[in-house]
Amino acid sequence: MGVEAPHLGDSGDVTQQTGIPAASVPALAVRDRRVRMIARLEVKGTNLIKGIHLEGLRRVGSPVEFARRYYDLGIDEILFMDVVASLYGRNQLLEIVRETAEHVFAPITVGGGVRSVADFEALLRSGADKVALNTEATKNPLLLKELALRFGSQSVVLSIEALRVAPGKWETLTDNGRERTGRDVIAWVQEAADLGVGEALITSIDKEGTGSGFDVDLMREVTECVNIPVIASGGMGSVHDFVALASTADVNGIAIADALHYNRVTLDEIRATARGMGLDVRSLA
Amino acid sequence: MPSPTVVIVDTGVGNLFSIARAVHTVGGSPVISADPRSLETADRVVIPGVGSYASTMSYFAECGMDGALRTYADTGRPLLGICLGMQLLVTEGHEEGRTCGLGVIVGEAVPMPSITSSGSPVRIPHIGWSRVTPLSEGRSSDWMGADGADIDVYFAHSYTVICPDSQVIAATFRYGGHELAAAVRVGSVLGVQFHPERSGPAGLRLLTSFVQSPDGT
Repeated sequence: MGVEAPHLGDSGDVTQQTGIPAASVPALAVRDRRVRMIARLEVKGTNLIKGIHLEGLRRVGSPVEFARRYYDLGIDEILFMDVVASLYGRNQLLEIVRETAEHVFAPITVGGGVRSVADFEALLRSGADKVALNTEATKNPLLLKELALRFGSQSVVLSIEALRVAPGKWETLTDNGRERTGRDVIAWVQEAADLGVGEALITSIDKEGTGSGFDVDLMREVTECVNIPVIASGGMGSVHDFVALASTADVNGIAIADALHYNRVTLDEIRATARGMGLDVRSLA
Repeated sequence: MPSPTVVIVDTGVGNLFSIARAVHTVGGSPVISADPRSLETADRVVIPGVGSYASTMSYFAECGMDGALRTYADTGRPLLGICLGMQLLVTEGHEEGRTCGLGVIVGEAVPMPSITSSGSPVRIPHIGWSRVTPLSEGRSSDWMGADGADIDVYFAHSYTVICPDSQVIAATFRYGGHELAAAVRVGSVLGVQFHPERSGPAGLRLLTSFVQSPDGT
């Protein structure tokens, strides 16, 4: 039919609009990119918990209360990860999502123990906007395709727990870092993107819970090998870590867990520092 | 003033709960319904945004919702399509082949441009918060509830709407170096590509305007 949009022209090269000096981040300036601040809340039963390297769990508080507080402070997205994800715990997770969605008008992503179309849909119906799959996806990759066709790519997130096994090489782990799959992280994220996954959540097992900064090499490798949005997780200890990652890897979201839960960083601080560095973050006005 | 009845059309899949909660928060009485007759008494109607183009249209056809929505649009009462719901408003969708849409706005839903003008790849889907600029010419009412200012709102989509009549485009956003339709509007029919129910206070202001103002816009 050839219907054109007369007023919706192409703007030309985005480098002219980002306001980031091309010399400081040459590889990244080609895409207009706004980095989302994502609060990662790990849930066990009805509790928000936090561990190190996905082990050694400690109770932090109520996930619903924390999610609401982050929303009030202007979080860009809430990420719930059920670390037990047993059949027994499903109803508790659905209830947490439902209670959160009652008052939190920001996107909510939920992962942990999703094994079927029915699990996926139950979470959407409870108020999740996106659902992340990890273990089941490695066993049954075609489930990703089925979900993407049914619910749209934009609601299907592939969650990868990445363990560095050699310089520049990472293996996909499952079950909160307990099981090895033999799958190369880069090959797996590419395969999943081809199957229709709309986003990749990459958690560095090596950095998770350490507060020692992100695995920047891993995030660079992943963002360079796929054209779906990528969320980086694991290692945020300070505002500096956020800015260092956002200015060197083309990530679309950065997940923050205990650094937020324990008030080591605030969202205002991250926003101000990121803007000061020429990075684009959401305006709350 | 009595609380306006806002019918949220049940598309059979996805997150209707969040829209219902947002509508309730801004003072509307949300009713989730797959019954075409529910539109007869609705003060406002929302077409939500998750699922696939073809399967949602065939679901509508099965239950007679497509005809009911066209009839409702003709009454001049406010209709809001969100994300896929906006895309369903137009003539035709190009998702997995061609599918006829509701056709209340002339246009097409097509895949988003996957490269910039300089040939760099663009990450698709577009997921995240982008700045939306209202195009004000010839439109006096403040349907975004932002006094004509830009707002940052949440998007999650792979398709975009193009319209032969540029006057239909009510707001735009930039992604991958392209300026795309963030909202389309013809009379009392409004479509938004973003998710106002997921866009914090800015989104709730838009929904307040939709639910509370006399003409919904």
